Amino acid sequence: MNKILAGIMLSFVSLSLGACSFDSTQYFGTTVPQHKANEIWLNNRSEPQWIDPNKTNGVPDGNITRNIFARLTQIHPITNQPVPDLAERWEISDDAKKYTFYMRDSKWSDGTPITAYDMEWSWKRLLDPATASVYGSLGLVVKDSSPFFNRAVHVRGFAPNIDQEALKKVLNEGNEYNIEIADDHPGMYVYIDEEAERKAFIEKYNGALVNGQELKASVTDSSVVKAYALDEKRFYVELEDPVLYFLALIEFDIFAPIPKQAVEHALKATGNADNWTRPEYIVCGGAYCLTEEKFRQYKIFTRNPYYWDDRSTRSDLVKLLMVEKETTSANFYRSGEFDWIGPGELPPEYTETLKQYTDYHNDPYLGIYTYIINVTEPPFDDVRVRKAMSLAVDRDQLTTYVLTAGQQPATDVVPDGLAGYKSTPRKMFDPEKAKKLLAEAGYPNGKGFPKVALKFNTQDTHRLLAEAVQQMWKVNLNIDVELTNVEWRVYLDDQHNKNFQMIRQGWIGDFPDPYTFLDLYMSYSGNNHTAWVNHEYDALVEEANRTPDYDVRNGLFARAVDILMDEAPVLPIYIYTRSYLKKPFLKGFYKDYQDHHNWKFMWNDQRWYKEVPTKEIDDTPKFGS
Amino acid sequence: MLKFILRRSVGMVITLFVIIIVSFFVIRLAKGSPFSQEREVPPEVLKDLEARYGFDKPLPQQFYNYMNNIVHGDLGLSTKYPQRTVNEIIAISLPKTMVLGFFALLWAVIVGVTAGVVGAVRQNTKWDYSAMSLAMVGISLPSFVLGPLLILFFALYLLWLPAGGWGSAKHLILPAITLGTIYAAYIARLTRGGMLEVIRANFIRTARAKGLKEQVVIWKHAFKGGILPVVTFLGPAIANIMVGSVVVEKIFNTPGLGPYFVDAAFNRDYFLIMGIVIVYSAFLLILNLLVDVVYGFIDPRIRYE
Repeated sequence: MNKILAGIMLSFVSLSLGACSFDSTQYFGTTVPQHKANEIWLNNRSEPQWIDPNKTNGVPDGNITRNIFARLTQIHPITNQPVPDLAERWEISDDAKKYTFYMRDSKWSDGTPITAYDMEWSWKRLLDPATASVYGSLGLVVKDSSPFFNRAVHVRGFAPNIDQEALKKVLNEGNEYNIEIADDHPGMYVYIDEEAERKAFIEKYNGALVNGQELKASVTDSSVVKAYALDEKRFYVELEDPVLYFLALIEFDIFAPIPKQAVEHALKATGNADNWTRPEYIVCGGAYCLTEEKFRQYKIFTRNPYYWDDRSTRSDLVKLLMVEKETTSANFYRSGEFDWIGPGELPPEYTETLKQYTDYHNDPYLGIYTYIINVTEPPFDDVRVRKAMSLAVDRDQLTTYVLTAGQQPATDVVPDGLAGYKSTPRKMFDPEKAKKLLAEAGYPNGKGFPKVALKFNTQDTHRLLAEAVQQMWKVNLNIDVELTNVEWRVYLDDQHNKNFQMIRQGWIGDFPDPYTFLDLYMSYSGNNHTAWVNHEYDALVEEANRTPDYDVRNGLFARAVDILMDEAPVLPIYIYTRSYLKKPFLKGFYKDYQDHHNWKFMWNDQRWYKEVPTKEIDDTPKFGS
Repeated sequence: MLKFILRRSVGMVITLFVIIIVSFFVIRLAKGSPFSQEREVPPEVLKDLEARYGFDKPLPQQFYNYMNNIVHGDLGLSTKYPQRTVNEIIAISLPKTMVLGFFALLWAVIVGVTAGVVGAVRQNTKWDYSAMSLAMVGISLPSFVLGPLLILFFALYLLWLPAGGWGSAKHLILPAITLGTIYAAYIARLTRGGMLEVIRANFIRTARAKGLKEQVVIWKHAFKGGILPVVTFLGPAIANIMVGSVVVEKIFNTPGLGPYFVDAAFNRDYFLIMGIVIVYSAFLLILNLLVDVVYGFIDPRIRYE
């Protein structure tokens, strides 16, 4: 039905476009800005859940928090490398584990300075389990953050020279607690999941005399976390491992400093600290600040003159509208209400038609589409069957004939070019070998192959792809795979509970580094839904994360990927692309890998208000000028 | 009359209570949690989230707490919009839906009744046929077809009206027509049917025999009786229109209550679903009562003892 509708709409669209003045058939809709030259109008799709950076959860939140709360670093929109933002510079110790950040003279939108103390408070708030930050676990790279984040019991008070191993044994009597010995002071962290049990443990040992030592026991507080202010200007961070992606990671919005004064003000005024992000209370540390909002209609952001690089902010006002339906969003773009609409805001059935317009663009994206396999149940507990499934899928055909929006066939679980990572060329489609492997596994020509199912969340694009793959399995292996589609929440539940044989899994990288994708298959990762356990793989990835040298590290990653591809708990299908429409007058819009598009770079080329300009204009990002 | 209203009100409260019980437990039967997402939520974080909404307690306890809160006028917190209470969300969204609904209804009644009366009075003429054909089209044309067609013509081709959104009277025209047209079509057919039946009745013949003017006969005598089926239809129809339409509000991006019917369920936003179920049920019950009361006024054959 939707397709018929789209057809009707598009025929109208092409008809009506003839009415405009110059060769407007080049563009989808009006090319004259419908708002003031110093304004940018964008679609945010949904009303955000949180605009508290510590708590952001998803694209609609991140779009906003990234732009109104600056971090220590920012990603250069062209080179994709981390460059200074709130930190003017930093020093890194030789072992690449200790960072000292020197804060710039930047101010909150209320005029007070952003200090290293703000950084400390915000990072500890992020790691506080009471904050309930969904992405908070990314902060666990900070040394000794884990006991605080997991509410471990902190046992201390004993003399530095006692036998800690003996004490550990006593504490663990009759239990299998995970106990870590702190390496910088006499103390240990006891991880107890159950709250009641944890309380009982504290009750038992706090003030108790064990092995001649009077112990102190309490839930770990934030003071142990190795991220703190040395003074107003210097912020010190110590890492568990010398992770090379650290400077890129802390560009993620959750690591932004948060205005303590605003949180306290909102708490005092309304009794609920969460209200601090409402326009009445909000104080921002980035290039823009929220000044007006109407729930599920729009939000207006104006320039923050106190931001250190305000001179480089190109536009005075950004208006975000919340338009969820793709066709509606395309209508708004056409009539000139949006300056650009991005992935998920374009109706997929329009793609073919939109391709002919000059303002339609298609760029690679930091995301990968896969089918993952639950390796615990037959027939997929047999690696030969898994490999056969993978080798029977012709990715080139899928991207050429089914997906059509310029997606790249995947030969790896990591998109190419991340932090210098290059994937090994692989033959992904080999039906003969697939047949042979399946026969070896005991299913010659698919005979006797049990009924298996591929699950995906209800959506037309997933169905189309799954049907094509189902056909490939039928033709190349002569096996029948059932397709089951389930609604989103059920899909998440099934994925989480491993209630599937094969399931679709898309993953968008959290930061531009291979690790964000490789973490998905670590045996202990909460995001590993395949139940695949390979300690060699774990060890290689862990070692890579401890290696402060890019080339060595990428070599280790490549070896880990080799194991992964050989064991095939996952079938990488394609690398995501972003299709978007962008008005020709919108400048300062770069093809950054993460689809961030910082507002502070965006501006309108005013010449379009009068006529179609013929000359290109300088459009390099300006900052720090 | 008063006794009747009182009796019905007691019944309504009981009905509403049953609806609340059933929906509260049925929603929980659906698989999936409001907090699940692609990235694994750390267990300590999940515990805190559940505690924040009281989902960590046993279900009967949760129900007791919920009922207790409703009695105090508190519909709970939304999980999808954690910074808003359900009361706040409904308070923001419902008025917009009602404004839209009011104009849709106005359109439906004016167009529908006019077409129906014309059809009945000029039965089997070209007037009747064209009015009824249009009504047929209106009934068969779903709003997800009519809406985009109107947008194409008026917003994208003629550039007269906005393609969607909220804020001015201009924003209301297209969605109100889209929402109201199907009701207009029903009303037209019901009015025509009702009027035809009454026009053939003895009291109309008597009125005509007394030499009353045709206009008086139609509007003063026939209309009152002929409109009865429309009144019956209007009760639930108003409730439907006033709580919003998922389709129309999505197409026009109206920030009203309609989309929540689907979205809140998809998001497992338990308290928001409950809040909407309660608002919708209350609307439906009250309007049905109103219709019965109005019956008593316009139909002399009906009397409540």
